[in-house]
Amino acid sequence: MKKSNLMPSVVLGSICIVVALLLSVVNMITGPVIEAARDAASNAALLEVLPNGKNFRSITLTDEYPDSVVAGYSADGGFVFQMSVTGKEAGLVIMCGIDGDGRIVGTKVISNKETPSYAEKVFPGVEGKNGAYAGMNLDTFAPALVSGATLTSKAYGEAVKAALQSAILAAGGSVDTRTPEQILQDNCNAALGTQGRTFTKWFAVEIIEGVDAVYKTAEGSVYVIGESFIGITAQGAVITSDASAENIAKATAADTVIKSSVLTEVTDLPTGVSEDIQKVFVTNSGNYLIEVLGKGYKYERNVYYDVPDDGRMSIMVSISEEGRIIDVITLSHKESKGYGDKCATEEYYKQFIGATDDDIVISADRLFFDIEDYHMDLIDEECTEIGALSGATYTTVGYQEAIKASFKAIDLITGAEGGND
Amino acid sequence: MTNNKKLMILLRGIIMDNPVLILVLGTCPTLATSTSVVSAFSMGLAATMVLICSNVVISAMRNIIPETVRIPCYIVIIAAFVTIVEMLLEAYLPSIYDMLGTYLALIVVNCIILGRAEMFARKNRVVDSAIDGVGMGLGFLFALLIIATIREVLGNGSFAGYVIPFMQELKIPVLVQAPGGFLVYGIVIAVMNKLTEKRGGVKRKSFSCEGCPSSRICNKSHCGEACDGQALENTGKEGSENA
Repeated sequence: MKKSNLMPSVVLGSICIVVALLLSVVNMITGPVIEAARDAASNAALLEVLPNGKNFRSITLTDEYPDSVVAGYSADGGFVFQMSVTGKEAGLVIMCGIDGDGRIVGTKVISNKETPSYAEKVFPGVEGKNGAYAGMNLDTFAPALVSGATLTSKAYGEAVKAALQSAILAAGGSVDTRTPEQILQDNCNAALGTQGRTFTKWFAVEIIEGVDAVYKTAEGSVYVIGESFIGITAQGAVITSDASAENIAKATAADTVIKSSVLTEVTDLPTGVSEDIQKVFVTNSGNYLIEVLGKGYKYERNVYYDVPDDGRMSIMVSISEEGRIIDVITLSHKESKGYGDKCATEEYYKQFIGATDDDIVISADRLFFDIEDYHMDLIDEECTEIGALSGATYTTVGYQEAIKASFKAIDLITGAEGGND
Repeated sequence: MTNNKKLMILLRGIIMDNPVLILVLGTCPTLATSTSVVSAFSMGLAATMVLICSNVVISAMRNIIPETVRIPCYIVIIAAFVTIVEMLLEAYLPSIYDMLGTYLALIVVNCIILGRAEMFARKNRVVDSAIDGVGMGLGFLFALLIIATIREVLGNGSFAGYVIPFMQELKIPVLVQAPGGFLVYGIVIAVMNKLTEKRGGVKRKSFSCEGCPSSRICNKSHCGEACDGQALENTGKEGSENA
């Protein structure tokens, strides 16, 4: 009984052992051939971006290298780096060859999941030894952005810049590979004498003269004046000592204004104030802070398809007593990636700063059409109104209308008749 | 066993019991690799090599492998040959290896190979099993080539990668996609059935009852008319011819 139970296992086990031995023999014969073929294929890709490269050797990537660099090779004649970045989609893998002088020789897309129409707009113009980046070094680098394929072209540029930085590192040099946000955070921490704190930009509700930006954390604030970062603790102590006396005075004055600013909510909103106005605050200096909803693309689309999700943009705007915008920020939105989502960038907010109600012109009104008739991109580069986003008609109009509604709300609250319509 | 009977074994695999068009086995690799003649040819050759080798080894070991573990043993043997073919292709024909991709490894679970091991190799001598492997393999190859030719010429306007100029405006792209594959496959089966009509009607699948999990309780009504006596008859015929 036991013998008959064991026999199948013994036979099966024996077959497995024989098969394993046979496969190991075949592997011994074919393994080196396969390895050589893989190296040749890999070298072929490297030679495509660095034709004069010889004797490619893998580089060990340390933490100094940009995060997007996934592989690096040094060669007699330069370097080749492989980067993985996110354009419209993740997984955009680019290989870049750099010569011994730190100049781009050629670039090539290894793999991507970008929308074909965007890829067609971007890749032909930048790839190869005659592409847009050929000949650039880190000093002359400029991203080759393509209108209508911003995310893809921007990601391609970031990959190429990472390759240029990596080439300097691989050659024994040093380069600051931090992102602008990382540099900002490091400078703020250095100014306030803290470590690892996350600083957020202060939303201005008071007009601060002579200060470019304010960043806050629990321990205090950092005031940016030109190239200077001046830290002032929550208790009012100035930490930074290497700034000029004039800048320290400006920072101290700004700190006093900010700390003395008190927000009071206006609860009884008069009739006529838009339903999109969510909250209104007034400071002790007479400035207003308003949270308002804007109708944007997502909202219009949801209405069209009868989707219950609201989809509106949430915007915060501060307006001075004199009727000028102090600051704008998009708190949340669901606008289209690559088009309307630009409404949440610093570059977008800056154009509103200092504008009055009369300065804000609804792009659709200027173009004299009913927006309901149009569902495609109408706002283009030729639209220069404040807040116009090329290729994002609904976002543009929704944002502008929200800002105008805020001005009107203030007019009604303060008792001014008619507004600016 | 006379030469005529050996020839019959060979021809049955190619025509009368064609695994793709008559037995409808190996449908997955058939549809997947018949988008181009080159990939169809490569898959057909690779599967034929594995089929011949596995049939020979399984036949040689038919008196050693116990009944209770025969299927795992067959799978191990088939997988070994598939792995060897994979390694050889990757080393010496990397372009073919890349072309076949994941479908190369899937030869392990190709119904044709395990089916012939179960239905023929384990009951017949080594030489006959080898001939059966050749026949079935060639039948698989020819069926793939027929379907691939139709799909590539009519669907892509090319043959074996060479563009046919006058077909460029006449091509039907859906034929190189999944729906077109099924369509062509069905039409070719229908044509094959029509051609073999005079040889005794529509050929049903000849399952071996010994390989059927319901064999012990089957009262012939489980598989319907297709199973009614025919499989048992075929089993009997094979047993007597190859004794």
